Amino acid sequence: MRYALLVAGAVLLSACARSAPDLPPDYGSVSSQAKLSADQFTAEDLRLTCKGISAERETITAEAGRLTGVIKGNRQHNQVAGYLGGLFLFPLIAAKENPDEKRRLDAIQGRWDTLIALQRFKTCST
Amino acid sequence: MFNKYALLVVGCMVLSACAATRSSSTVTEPGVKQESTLDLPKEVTSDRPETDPAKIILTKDDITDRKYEIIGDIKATVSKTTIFNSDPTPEKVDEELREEAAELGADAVILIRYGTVGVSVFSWGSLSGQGRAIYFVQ
Repeated sequence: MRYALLVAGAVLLSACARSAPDLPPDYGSVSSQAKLSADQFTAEDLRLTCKGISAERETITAEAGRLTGVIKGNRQHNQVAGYLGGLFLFPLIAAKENPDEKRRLDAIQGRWDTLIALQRFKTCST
Repeated sequence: MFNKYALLVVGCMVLSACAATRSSSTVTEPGVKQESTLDLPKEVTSDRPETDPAKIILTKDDITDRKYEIIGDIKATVSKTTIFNSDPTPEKVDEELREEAAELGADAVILIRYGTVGVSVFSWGSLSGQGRAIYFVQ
């Protein structure tokens, strides 16, 4: 019984929802207190052109879509494991977590926010 | 014994047919991060008149070609009611963000981002999303 609870608990924790990443500071509103400056960006980022920023945004959007697909695929697998786990505990062990993909998605969102701020700083048209 | 099991399954199916998802949302001051569960961000209200949900712009981007003022940050969560329902989608989160933004009198929700679906405390499948509710100024 203890073993069952331990495995079930571990699976539930490992299949946890990933929260939506935090919103960035307000750089855009008319009453914004935070102002963008060059020292908020790396030298490499500052060398990016508006076209380069757009290209990178497209690249990371595609990567985020692919990672979301991987997590969604495993989610279906985990649900089957969850159903069967209700009857025969062992399938629960087969549940898959995607910590690397989730971490990468958070990083992509951070990069997305940086690119949006960079676009504003460089007054690129969107 | 079999009858009890059958009743349980039928009961679950009936429940799952009632409401596939439930939603919740909160509106807080912009850019305020919650450091701990004891340190809840301040909830925001708006005295602006409600807007038409269908006219609200939803975008993952910032808006740079029009001046705007912020109302607040909206956090929405959509959860499926039973394990038998399909998982919530970003489109469902968008609906929730749109409805909350309309009540606040917003013209747009910008910088929208989503989490990924997974088990939460009260659901077998939850998906959260956040966005910043704004209104345009002249």
